[in-house]
Amino acid sequence: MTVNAHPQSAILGIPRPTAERGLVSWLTTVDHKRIGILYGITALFWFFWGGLEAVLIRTQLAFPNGQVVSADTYNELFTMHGTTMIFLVVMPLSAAFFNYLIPLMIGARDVAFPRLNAFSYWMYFFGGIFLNTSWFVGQAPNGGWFGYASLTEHPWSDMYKAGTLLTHHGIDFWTIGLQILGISSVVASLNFIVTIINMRAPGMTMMRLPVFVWMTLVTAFLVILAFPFITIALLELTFDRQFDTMFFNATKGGFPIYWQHLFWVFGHPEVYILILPAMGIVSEILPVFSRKPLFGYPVVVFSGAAIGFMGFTVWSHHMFTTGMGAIANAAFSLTTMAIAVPTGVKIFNWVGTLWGGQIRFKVPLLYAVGFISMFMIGGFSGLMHSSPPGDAQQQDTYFIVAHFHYVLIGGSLFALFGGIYYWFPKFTGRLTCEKMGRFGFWLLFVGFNVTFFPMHWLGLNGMPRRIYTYPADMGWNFWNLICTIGVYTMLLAFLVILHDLLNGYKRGAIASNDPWDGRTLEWTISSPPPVYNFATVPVVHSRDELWYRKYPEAFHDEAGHEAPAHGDDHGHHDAHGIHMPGQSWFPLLASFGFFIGAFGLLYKVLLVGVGGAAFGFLNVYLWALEGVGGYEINPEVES
Amino acid sequence: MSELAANGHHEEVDHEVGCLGIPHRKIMMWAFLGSDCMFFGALILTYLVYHHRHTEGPFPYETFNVVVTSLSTFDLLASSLFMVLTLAAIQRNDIKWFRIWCGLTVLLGLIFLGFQAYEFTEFVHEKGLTLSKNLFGSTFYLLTGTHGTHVAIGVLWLASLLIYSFNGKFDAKRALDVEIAGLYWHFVDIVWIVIFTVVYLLEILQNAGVPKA
Amino acid sequence: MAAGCGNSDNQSIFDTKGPVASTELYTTMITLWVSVGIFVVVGSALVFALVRFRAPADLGPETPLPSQSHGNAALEAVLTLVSICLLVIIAWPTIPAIFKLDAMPTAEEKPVIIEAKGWQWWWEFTYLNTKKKVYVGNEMHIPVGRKILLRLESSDVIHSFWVPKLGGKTDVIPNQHNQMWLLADQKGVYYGQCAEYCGTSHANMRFKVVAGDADDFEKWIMHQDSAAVDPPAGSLAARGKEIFIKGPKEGQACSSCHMIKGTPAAGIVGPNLTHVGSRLNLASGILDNNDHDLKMWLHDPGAVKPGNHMATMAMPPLHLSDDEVNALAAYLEMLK
Repeated sequence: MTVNAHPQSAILGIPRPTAERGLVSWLTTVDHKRIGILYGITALFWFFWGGLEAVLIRTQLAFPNGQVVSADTYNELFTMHGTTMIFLVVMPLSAAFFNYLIPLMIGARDVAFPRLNAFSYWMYFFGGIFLNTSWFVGQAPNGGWFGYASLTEHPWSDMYKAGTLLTHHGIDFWTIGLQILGISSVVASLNFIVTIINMRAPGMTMMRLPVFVWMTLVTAFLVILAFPFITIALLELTFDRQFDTMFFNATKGGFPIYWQHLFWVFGHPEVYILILPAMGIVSEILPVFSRKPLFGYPVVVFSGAAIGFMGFTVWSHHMFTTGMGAIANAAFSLTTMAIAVPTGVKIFNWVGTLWGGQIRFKVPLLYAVGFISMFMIGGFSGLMHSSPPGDAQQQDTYFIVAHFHYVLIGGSLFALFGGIYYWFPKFTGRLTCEKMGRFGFWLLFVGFNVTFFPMHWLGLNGMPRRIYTYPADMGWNFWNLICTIGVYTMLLAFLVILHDLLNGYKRGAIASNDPWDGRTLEWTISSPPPVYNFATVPVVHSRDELWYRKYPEAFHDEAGHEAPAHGDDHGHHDAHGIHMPGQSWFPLLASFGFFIGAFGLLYKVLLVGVGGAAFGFLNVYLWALEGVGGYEINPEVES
Repeated sequence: MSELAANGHHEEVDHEVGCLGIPHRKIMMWAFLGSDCMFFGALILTYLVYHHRHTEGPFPYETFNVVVTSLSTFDLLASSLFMVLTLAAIQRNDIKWFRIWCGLTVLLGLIFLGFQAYEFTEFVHEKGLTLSKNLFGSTFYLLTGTHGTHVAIGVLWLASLLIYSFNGKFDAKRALDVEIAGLYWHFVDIVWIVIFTVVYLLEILQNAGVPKA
Repeated sequence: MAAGCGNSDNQSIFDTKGPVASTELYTTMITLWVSVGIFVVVGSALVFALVRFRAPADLGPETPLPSQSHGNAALEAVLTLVSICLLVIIAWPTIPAIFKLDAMPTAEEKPVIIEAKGWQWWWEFTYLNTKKKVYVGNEMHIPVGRKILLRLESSDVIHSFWVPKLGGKTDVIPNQHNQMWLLADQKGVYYGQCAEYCGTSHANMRFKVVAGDADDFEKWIMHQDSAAVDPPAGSLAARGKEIFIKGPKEGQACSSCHMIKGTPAAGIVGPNLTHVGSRLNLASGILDNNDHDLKMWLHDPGAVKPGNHMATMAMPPLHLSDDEVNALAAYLEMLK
């Protein structure tokens, strides 16, 4: 493999970074695979952090009149647990998969804008740190993960002590932190939209895309169209808090309910942002481990798009008890029931994929099947909420807590862990231990159900959510203890899984290109892939391209044509060598600038705020001037 | 299916054209503008939700000077025309006229910002309307302030292109950069048309004949 | 499950005691059974597929592939149609129920109109159309068999009014005027709890609804309207009254927040204590109304109810001596 370096562009005398190993190589990387690894490891760190918060919550609730943490600390714990799991774990873990796999699955060498991609990661990195700095200054956010006004306004977000009102910055850490994370998500989604639409290999039509790519595309559109609403909501809340405006402040004529509308117009698409990538992952795993194609590919794709679209029409089902009136309640009830249709259709298709196959019970499949069953339960409790009269009893109780944990853990998280196990050989070049993986899965499956199934009952027995303790005579004692035992089982399970993954990384058997007998393009290249992904850009002739290269007898289309000859599987050969984009300091430095500026905004220190933001913008500007840069690689061409 | 490779040739990596035959950055700008639509949509929605729900003044119809605002609207519209001419100039490699039209676009943008600064100052000092005075103040300043910030970013962007055009290497190959800046500029203009209509003109229509305080 | 393993089910939604709760339970049960039905059918298909179509143990690259079906449009269409039918089954009773529960009682139904106001962290109930207009804290008495129209208000943040055995919850939102109605079929004491996170002591914002017959209700109203008993001069309770009105120190007068009718105490930002001695509970439903709990409360309200304004707003901070606590307790306990 020969490398021809371009004359390295320098800006302001600072040479462009070129390190291929070590800390600098990671800090300045623009390689989508490395960025995917960074997202994944950071997300797993926050997963354990958010999990610790959950363990503390459950320990406090194990017995009535618990004294493990104070009321204020408990309220901070559940706020941060929710915020962390949604914005610092599930979304970035999905992003890890988007980053690593999308270019591989569409036959591209990287995303459309590699440095922008790095910028998205660093904004996430600093956003997570910013948000959690609040713990260390004793002022973590305490308004719940959806921060309802008026509780998030002054003075109710502050604490009285001896007659004096002490400013509590928790909500500001929350609003500003989420803005940083929002920028990260929107920018990344713009990148993926362009990548998926515009960088597909020759022959890769939209209807030949792997379902995971489709779900990524729909998710990306949801992000760019839904996040503006929370951006504005947070902006207006910030203005209320810092500049005395009255967007949600009832004492000055504002409507607190307006916060809820803006938030949930974002919030509901957000839950589809959380589940669609997981559905995509499951749609990849099931066909491979059944040795047959996904049942009803067009239906799965279109139902995903339909869910995305319809997701914008249901938001007020989070507000059935706010007194919107019968007509609004009825309308949103019907739209919510309607969205169950495309969701249900997918379940049928997944079962249809397994049906008639040759099912190999490897660890990824266990997680995929776990997803189907657990997501069904979560979907059904969701269906139960869709009826406003029923929801009047269920809302704000542990029944809701059970519902969303079934769809988020039983759904999203199971699929994401299935994805980790499925693509582990591709990311690391090694295989994990099947036995330990199975043990970890079953421990998790049991622990998860023991933790969350009783919560259905607790909610229907009248236990509200977000209460730091409960009295001994309500009939809630026994099941709360069971839930806590369950969470410790889950903790154990995750430690087993972590050990399994680390063990696999260090000592696992070496993996071939295609250890699972896969169907999609990422399995045509080495494990892990070379830095340039494909020696020659592949030419695609069908959906599940790799499968039909391996098993031409399996190919049939509606017209009864034979499998196309794969004579020229090696497409366009770059005569000048493959161009690799250059590494850059600027995404990291720009993010750092905005991170510092955020503190200035929070503590109202003008110099820090303006200085940080200016430093951030300066680095963006230099990045624009720097250009793509880069170097050429001539790989040995595989014959 | 196109035989075009997923990556362009290395000399033109800045203008990579993909499956749709459209450069990456243009698709990016369109997607971003879609997002920005929602962003302004939420702000306009906020204005409309709270429209006339404040009980104490100042009220819009006694605050606005529609004549002045109409002038600034016309100014911004004209700047869009000049933006079109700017792009046409660079596409035919006419650097001289590129610089003239671009300069004029920047100038008109600055004039618009000047009008807005004048308007805000008037409202605060003469009419007593501040951000925290009433719902009208809060929603009006946030909406038009955000729009003004967008205009300012556009002005900086176009001014950068203008300055860059003096570096000797600026020619028709950079037309895409100008086109993308133009898309952004036209979007900002269209948003202003909507704001002008919803915020200013509707007020006039609703209150025609109401004597000013 | 319903027996709750020997524990009491004070807030169970299954133990309906009124038409609102029973209508809501009915819609819940329909969706529950439809859900269970679909789960059993689809779950069985899933389990069957996993068992029946397990790969053979000797699976290798030479093993012939299973039939490579791409889908079945007809099957998809049928299953989609079936799903829609099941949703219609759920929607059918749901929509009328929404409108029925949203229809507030008319004047002919002679509802009792109560304003329920949420405060951090207690409930204020003001009776608007009874013989006497009274306002009480944390314990709402109602007549059995008569509709109760609740006007829901908040004085600070969003709370939610919820008495599970009588009906589902409706939020109380500042600057918004929600309404709901309830009706108790039977006499009893029903537990209620705030169901919207509202700050530090959200968990402690509980209340009770006492449903009695019409006579009991009228008697109770008249009693709430009466002035508080006066303690005998020179007694410990009289000393307690003095402390209550003037406060143990400057800036700590109980009377500045609490009302006791018939005395100079006329505060309205805390619960009305005129008849606190006859209440079932103290401190918004979280303490029993006995000497021990009352004294525990007076000694350290912040320990019982974190964030409580008595603990945080009093300036200087409230630190009552044992004597003061005993005196106040003696007074308050006699306010039946």
